[in-house]
Amino acid sequence: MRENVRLGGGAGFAGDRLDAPVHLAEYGDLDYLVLECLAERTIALAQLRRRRDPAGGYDTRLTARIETLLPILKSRGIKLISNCGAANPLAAADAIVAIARRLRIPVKVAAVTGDDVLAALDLDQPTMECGNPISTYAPIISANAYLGAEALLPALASGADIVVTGRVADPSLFLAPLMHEYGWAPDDVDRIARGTAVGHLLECAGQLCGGYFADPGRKEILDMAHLGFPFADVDADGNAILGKVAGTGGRITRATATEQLLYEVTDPCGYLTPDVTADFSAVTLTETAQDRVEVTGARGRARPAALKVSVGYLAGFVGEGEIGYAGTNVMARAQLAAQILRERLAERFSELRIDLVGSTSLHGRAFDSNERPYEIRLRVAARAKTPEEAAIVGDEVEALYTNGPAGGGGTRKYVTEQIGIVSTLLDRARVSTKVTEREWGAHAEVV
Amino acid sequence: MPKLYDLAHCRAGDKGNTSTLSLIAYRPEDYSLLAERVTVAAVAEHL
Repeated sequence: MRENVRLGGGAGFAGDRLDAPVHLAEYGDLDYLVLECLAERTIALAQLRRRRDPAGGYDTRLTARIETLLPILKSRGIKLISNCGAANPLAAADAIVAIARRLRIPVKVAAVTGDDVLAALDLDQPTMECGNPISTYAPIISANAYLGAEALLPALASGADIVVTGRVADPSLFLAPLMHEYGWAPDDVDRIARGTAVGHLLECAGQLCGGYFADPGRKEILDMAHLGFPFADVDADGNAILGKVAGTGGRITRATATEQLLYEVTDPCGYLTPDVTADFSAVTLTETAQDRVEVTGARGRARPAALKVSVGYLAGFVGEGEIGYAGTNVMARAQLAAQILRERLAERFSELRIDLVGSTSLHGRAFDSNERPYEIRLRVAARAKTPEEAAIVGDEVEALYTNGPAGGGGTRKYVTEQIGIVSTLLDRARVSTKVTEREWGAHAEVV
Repeated sequence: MPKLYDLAHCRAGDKGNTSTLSLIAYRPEDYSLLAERVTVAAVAEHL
């Protein structure tokens, strides 16, 4: 058995930077690169795209990611694991194979499916948030169970270069290669918990390296414009050393690791994943060198009996409008504008908010004015049932050009569709997962 | 009186409709003071 597996965290969400994982793959001496690309709402939005295009519904930046990474991954023998399959892992696998064919790089891709449980969803089931039935939220557009690491094991055993999934619990994406490499049993709860802790620390990529941590003057992080992404060297017992490539921006310290260990953990003594109930309360973080932090001591208890299901629903539209004011008497003019809009919109929209925002957007400086604040950007937002109704908000803000207080400028208006998310639980027995292989370049085809 | 900002750093996040805030003492000796003062009730009142 090998003594060390190095996992890299190459994306913390769908919109994450594309350059950082390339650098990590190139210089990080990785065994596995993991791209976590699914926030809570991402998969519901992807489901809407799949409805419009049956061959779509995966991460919109998959092509950009794979095109640059594939040559590096193949030449260095790094395996890729990603939930970038989103609402359509099979289509994602096909898209990756198409890229490989174009680049003439042989590839084997394994797609993990089974997380989409919309057809099996019982609408009378209560939500975890409010206890009311799911049917309250109709129209429902997606229901995806959080799969655990075990769903990925057959894909890894197939020898695939790339494993694509839909909804999988974020830490499970990292735990799976550890279970695969070290042969950890699913009920080996302490090792599973340690692997889960490592996954949790890496799953937000740059956040472990000082992203979302920096606070100038108090928590200084240098060279954030070139923030490096992290890796972990994990041993056969799940103990790990976190690190990043020398010369990249950011820092990994006991403090950055502590914040990330506790990030979005509701109960540090009972962090629930599909794989384990993890107890982080006895975790020890030790700085062993510059940008190296050792992680030990997570413990585990039996995994939850049910899987969490994330249910997406259509939640109407939000219309927004902005306009800027600056200089002498700015507050009074902005407040007058706010009052005009409230009078014109309050009856039509039950959920209306008006905010006063601003710093340097209009003139870039405050000249010699004593006015504080020097500028205000008025932002108005309201919820609506239709896009047409939502558009009225921005139109009314724009109308202030000629109908409102002196000196308004720089209006912007937006209408965005809203996706709501509620959660429920589903018996594990009702979720069955499957691995489908796609391949290009097997021997004869490569000429 | 010292400010909370001087005693601890914090990480904010959310899960579903639950906001999560972790509080991490810069110095271990301040931990018990934070645990005693920064209660769920005190935070709820502040917000």
